[in-house]
Amino acid sequence: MSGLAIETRGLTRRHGRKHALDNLDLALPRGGIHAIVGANGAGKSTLFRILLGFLSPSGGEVFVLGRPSAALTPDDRRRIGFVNEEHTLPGWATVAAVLAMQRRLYADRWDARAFDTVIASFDLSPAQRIGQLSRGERAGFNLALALGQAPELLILDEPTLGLDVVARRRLLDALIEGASAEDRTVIYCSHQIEEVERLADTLVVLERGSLRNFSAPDDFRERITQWVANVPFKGPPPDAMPGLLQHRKIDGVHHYMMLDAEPGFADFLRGHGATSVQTMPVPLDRAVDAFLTRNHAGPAA
Amino acid sequence: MFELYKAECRRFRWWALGAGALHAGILLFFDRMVDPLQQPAMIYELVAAIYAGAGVLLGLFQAGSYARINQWMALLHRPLSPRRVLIAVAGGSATMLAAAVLVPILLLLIGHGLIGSRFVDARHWLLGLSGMLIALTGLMGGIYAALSPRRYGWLVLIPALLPTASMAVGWAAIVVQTGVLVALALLVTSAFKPDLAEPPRTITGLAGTALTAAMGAYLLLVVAGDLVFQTLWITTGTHPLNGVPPRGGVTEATRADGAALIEAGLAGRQDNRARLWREQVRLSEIFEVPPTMKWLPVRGELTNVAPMEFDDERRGTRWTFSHDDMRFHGVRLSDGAALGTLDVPGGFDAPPLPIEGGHLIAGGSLLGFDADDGMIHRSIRLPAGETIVARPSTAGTALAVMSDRALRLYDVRVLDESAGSDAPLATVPLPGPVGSLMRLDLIELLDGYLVSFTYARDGVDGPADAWQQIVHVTGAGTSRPVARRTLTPDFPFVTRFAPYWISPALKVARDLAEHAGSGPVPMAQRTPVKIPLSIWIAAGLLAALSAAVVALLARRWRLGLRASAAWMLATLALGPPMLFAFWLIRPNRTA
Amino acid sequence: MSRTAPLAITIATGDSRPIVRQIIDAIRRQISTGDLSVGDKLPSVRGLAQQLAINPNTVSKSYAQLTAEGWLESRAGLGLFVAARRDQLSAAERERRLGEAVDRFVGEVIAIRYPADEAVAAVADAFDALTLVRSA
Repeated sequence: MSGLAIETRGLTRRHGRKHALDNLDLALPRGGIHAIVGANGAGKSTLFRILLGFLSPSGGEVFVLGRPSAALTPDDRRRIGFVNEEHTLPGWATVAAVLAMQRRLYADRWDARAFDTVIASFDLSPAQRIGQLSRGERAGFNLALALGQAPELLILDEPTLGLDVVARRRLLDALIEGASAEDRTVIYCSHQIEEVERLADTLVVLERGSLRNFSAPDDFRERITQWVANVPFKGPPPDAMPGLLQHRKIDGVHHYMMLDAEPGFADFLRGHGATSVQTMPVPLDRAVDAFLTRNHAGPAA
Repeated sequence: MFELYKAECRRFRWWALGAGALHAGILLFFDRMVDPLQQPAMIYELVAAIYAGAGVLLGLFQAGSYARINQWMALLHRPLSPRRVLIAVAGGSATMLAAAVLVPILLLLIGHGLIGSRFVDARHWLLGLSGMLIALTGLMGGIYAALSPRRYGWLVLIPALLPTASMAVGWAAIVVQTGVLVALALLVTSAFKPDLAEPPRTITGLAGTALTAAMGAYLLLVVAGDLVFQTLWITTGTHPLNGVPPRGGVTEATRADGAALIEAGLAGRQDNRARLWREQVRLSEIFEVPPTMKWLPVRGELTNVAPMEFDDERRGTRWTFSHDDMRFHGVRLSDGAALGTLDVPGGFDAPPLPIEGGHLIAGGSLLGFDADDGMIHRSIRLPAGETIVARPSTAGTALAVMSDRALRLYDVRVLDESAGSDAPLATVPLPGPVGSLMRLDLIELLDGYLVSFTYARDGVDGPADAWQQIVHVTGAGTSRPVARRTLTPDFPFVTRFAPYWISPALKVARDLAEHAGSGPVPMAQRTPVKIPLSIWIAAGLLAALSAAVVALLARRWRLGLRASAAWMLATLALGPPMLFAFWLIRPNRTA
Repeated sequence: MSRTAPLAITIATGDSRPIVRQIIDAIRRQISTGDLSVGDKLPSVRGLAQQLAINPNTVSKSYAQLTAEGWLESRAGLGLFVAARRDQLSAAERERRLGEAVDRFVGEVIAIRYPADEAVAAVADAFDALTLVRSA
């Protein structure tokens, strides 16, 4: 058995001319919570669809729990939980009916305790129809069902999207509860960096279908530093600054967000006439934001 | 899996209950007003279309609710094979649909037999079964339409219309409808997989889809191609049938008045007799004998060519024919009391078709109901094996009776004097297969008759040869051909033979499929089509060219060697429609 | 078996310090102020993870570092406890760190143009306050 939960080699998916995934090499080890972060259209949903065999790659290979994803057997699927951002459940069925079906499908591995723990924080009655649940209740029920099936691999596509603070917190609690199970791999995709910071062991940053970062969140954060320099006049040209993510000039003071700044960067700035240079670490959300928006035009200096 | 099935049943149970109640209400209402079992075929076709439409809507709704990517992932990402998910999900909707269609029909049939003294034939139970099969076919069609890739899904559905074109009757119709349903279910199975955008993964699924799509493309090319041609002709004002039809053509012959037609038929003869005939044609009355009826009743058929009943107004009795015991069953109109059965000595050769004037056509017999004695009498009985194929018509003092082999002329009194002889005055053997006969004109000469046979069916825009034959019938009853002329087709050669050069193999397949299980249909007896060598060559060249294009596309799409070879061979066999299917299906390299 | 001491700490996401760092700082501070006494039992990894709504691995990392630094000690099968104070750092290292802290402090005080003697008095007050809390 492969030691990887997920492996892609040269994975490419084109929609017409556009590359949703561009030669993606990704190897996620078993165990832990892996957060995938990227701007809209970075290829996260495309990746999940390909992982589960619902979309065919234009090129490259994909393995999930050691199996090519186009050839997942019902038994493989039994070991993989998937929760999408809509929390798709049959709206016409009752809570009890959906639960009964899930228990029957996963009878051999059903984890009633995990299900009960999660569902306890939501106030659902068995006779309610799914269509009558609020978004948060549906999300909680969906996650409880996914954790109840005790999956080896749990894939969550923006599970907290559109939830209020209370529901989100409950969902996070449920995830923390469920993710600490042994041997479970959770792949989690979110725009909420706060959640990522709380949950993730690994931060995977995707951009335009390519892998940009694969490390612990703290290691990623350490790669990015903020510099404030008082440089009269223009300052150094941006193309002379490798690793420049963001540059803003506020009240005549230059603010630089740098990726992997070289050790002599302060001297470099002084060499360009900086009268004072200060550096500071940045919070994770700003680091991710700066990283993902580096190619976007910032406000004019 | 059973949970999934149950859930899907529960999902539609109120709909099924509502639709079923409405359905039953309508059927029982009509059962009070008319006899639902004795309607003309068109009514049943309409009802079948409603069933099919209901099925299509349900299929589109159900599969459509799952076809969006998140719903689809939620449905298929579970420890069940897609086939089992399909069986559970489609099984649920099929159960509900079948119940909503079949239960009211069964209620109707049971009620129809129990209440009043009416009867239900075996064929009526089959008709109910057929209604369910057609509804389920619609369901599968709707599911396929919602799930299959847009590029070619619609094409695959065209051949599923076979039941509307099939000539199969009775049990054979049930077999054909079941076959179409099973085929469609298999196609749905092949499309029911995680990646909906891709063509079927299995070789058999892909082959079935490709062949069906090729047949769909063929039908589309033949029908739509014809429409496009005709529209172009009409818009450019060069349509062959616009204004005055071309001289010596089929259209001219079919539109001409009888005298002109017979004169034209005799134009080749300049002798004295012909000149004499021409004079008489100008003076005499021309009788146009109705040609073949398209359909005749077949025992055990599901529907009716026409209502199988007639009224004895003097006694207030309605006589309805039962296929099961081949007798008429009487019911008193005032109170619905049973009045026994009615037969004819010697029995009916075939289910009798009531026509005007209290007459009945049944196989080789012309029968009549005598209101005086309330009995059915046989007026004419043709030699064994012959079938009357048209309504008898009067031509002066004669009664013209068309069979599938000969035109016979009788003294009109044969209808009244049931005791008298039924020997014909004259018997004119048909000069060609009855199904190709388009028009029959006749004049009474001083010493006999002159008959003009116009053989032109499928000869206007189709590939059949068309000609006119004039036959002289002497006063003694013997007949001999006296003139014949070839009618020129009005449509260009290329369009007339389009179904052949587009794909001879698919033309044969289509004809076989449509004719499979047909009863004895006189219209099916046609002059064999002579296909010119040039058409064969054109078909061969097109197939070869198409296969070459397939080879090019296969290379561009990096298809494997064996897959490329298979597609090329199939295209070589089936021609451009297969190329069209290949291009739309765009199989991936792994297939 | 000793009961788990309540650990009243909070973490903030969006802080420029990683969560691991925030937990370490908070526990060190609580030990320094006496909120946690020697021998107190710390919450389990799972428990603290749930309490703070964070990944248990993060708690593990914090605990591991605190254990390595000698703030906590692990008793087999029982859990983690606040350790008796031992000086983990060498004299030179302690001196270096003090120098750093003084530099930072002095820099800040100069920036706000505060008189040096008042600043020193304020530092003394702060230490007095800590002592008070500890003895209370």
